[in-house]
Amino acid sequence: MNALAGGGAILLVEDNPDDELLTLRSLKKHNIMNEIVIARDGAEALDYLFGTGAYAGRPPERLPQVVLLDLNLPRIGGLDVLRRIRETPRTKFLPVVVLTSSNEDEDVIESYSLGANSYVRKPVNFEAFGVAVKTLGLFWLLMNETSPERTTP
Amino acid sequence: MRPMHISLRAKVMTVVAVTAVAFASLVGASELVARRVQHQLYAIREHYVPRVELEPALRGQLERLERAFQDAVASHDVDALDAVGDLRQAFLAQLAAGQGALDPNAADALRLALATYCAEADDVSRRLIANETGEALGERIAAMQADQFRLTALIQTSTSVDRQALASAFTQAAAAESEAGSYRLGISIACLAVAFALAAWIGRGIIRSFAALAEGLDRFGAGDFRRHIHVKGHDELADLAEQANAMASRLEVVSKEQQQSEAKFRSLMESAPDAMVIMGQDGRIALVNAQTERLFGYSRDELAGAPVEILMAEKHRAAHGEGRASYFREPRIRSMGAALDLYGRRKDGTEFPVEITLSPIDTEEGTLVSGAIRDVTERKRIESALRFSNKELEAFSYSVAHDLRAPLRGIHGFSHALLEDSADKLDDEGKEFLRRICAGAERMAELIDALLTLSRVSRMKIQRQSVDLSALAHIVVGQLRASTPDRTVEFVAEPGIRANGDAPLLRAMLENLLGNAWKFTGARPEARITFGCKYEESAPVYYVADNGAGFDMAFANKLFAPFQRLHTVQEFAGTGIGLATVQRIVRRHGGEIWAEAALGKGATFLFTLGNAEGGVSA
Repeated sequence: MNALAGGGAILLVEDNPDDELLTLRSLKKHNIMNEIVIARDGAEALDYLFGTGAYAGRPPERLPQVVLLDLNLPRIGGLDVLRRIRETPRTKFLPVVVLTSSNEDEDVIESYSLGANSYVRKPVNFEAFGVAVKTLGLFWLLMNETSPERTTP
Repeated sequence: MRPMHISLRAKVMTVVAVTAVAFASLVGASELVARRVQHQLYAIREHYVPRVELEPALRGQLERLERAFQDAVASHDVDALDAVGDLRQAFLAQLAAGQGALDPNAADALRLALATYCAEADDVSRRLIANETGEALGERIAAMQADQFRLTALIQTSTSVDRQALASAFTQAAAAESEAGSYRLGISIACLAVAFALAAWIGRGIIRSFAALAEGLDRFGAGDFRRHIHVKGHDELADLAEQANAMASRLEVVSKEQQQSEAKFRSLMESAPDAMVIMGQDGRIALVNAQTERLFGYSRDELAGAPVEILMAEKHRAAHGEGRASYFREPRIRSMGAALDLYGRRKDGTEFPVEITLSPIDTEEGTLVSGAIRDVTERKRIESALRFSNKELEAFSYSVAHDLRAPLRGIHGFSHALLEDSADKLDDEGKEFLRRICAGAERMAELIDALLTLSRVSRMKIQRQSVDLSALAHIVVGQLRASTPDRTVEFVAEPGIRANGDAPLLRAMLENLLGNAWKFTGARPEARITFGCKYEESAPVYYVADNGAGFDMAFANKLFAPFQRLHTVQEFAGTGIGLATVQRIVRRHGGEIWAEAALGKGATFLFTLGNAEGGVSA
């Protein structure tokens, strides 16, 4: 098992239900069976990651395999969430894929400078997500866990 | 007809000539008179002097003759009487020599008297030698003495001079001399009079002319050009006066023009919308306009001669002296304000933002500088409002990007999901509708993206650097080839084309231009795209040329406007934003873009990038 594999969950931080539904569908369609945890805003995402608030009592060392982070979030924005993740030693190396709704350069540059590992433009179809995952070195992990019977491309 | 021109030189020459003639005649007349006098004196000498000299000579001869007779008698020597003949001949020779001085009759009378005497004396002498005595002898001696006396008297009378005649001759000579003197005096006076008269006449004319000239030039000097100089005559001074008049006429025109231009300058200055302040090198105000009075609250009188610093905000005052000195070292038109954040100061102490344009004015008193001062309070307010609304616009763009696209993603995503998941529950028409919904949503997303790109291009700061456009063009074409591997397109880029510009923007520009060329050559079996650079007036002009569909130049003006398309989406896909974006990029670099094309014959897009640093490097 990989050191990162704390249960193999994927944390999807997304406030738009349509986007959430479409993302879930895309992952499911491609047989990614990992547990998918949904956070509706930045505060909720941080609670999940650090075992606070609604997630009080959740062991914080059980980190998700990857975070899919929308930037445009209510309460605490995506960039702030990313900043907090990188500031915290325990989550410093957690893979974060930023979801953007446009190619707005400012967002992309800002998220890279804050330490995002990759970004994917919404709607998150599997191909785009797959490329990001591949570049993050998570490909085999996801593939192995989700579709062991599938032959690698 | 022009009156006869008598030059000053001719006049002077006339005076000299007249004077010379007068003196020549004076000398001639003197000479004539002198000759006359000389002639008379000569006549006196010729006539009287020999006669006076002849008397003692003849007397001497006569005495020697007499002594010779006496000697012969005393010695009783008859032979000695022969010697008397020689003395007689000597007397005659003497007489002959002096004969010219005598009356002709007198000489003959003297010869006759001499002969008579000598004959008598010879007879007497012989008788005495022979010791003859007697009364008869006494008579002969008396006769002889009478002859001798007669001869002596004759000598005396014939050589005597008429004193009266001599005196009269001298008187005549003196009179002639005196007459000559008076002639000379008369002629001298006449000559001098003529010379003086002429000189006075000419001199008066010259002095008058000079006076008129001097007075006229004084008048011109004082700026009064209405009355011209009048000089009588037609000499050099008259010419000079005419030239001075001509000069005055020209000066009058120039002075009028100057007055007019001065009036124009003043009215321009007064009507200028800006406060105009004219300042000397000493930093003191020379002239201001009404707008200055209104803007700063000072009156003209208060400002005239005051240091220009009183119009400046306190913080600028200290540095202004050095700024002024450096300006006068290199005076040129210069705009200040936009970047410098300058403030003016009113009489009441309030300060306000200004923009100043300085221009040097060359005048007789040296270089002055005119400052046009504009109150930019209102503009600053608008600018800050504009900055604020720009921020709003950015927020709006962001919201368009995020909020508008979210529902669109829903439409597209769920239509797509429906097509995939529930295809079996739909008939062909239903599937086709769903596909159209997807296509519409995709196109709308593209449009939003294009609009956002356009607005980003307008807002982004340009960071210039040297960019290898040739290399960039090859990268872009490489991407195009990768995206449409089935196309065969010949691409030629001139190597080494560089530009000084913003690399990401230039890349976006080439992506659009080359993408268009790629797209519009789609129907060509032998598609060809060229990227190059040429020079117009030594500035680089870049171009992207293709042999594609081209367009009708009649619609060229629509090319660069957003959402304007010259082809249908069915013919060629596209948002209609690309060229608008390209134009924005080019303009933000300070350049221009234009196109040359013909329908069906390809298109060439040419552009500049606002500086001359680019071009083809070797």
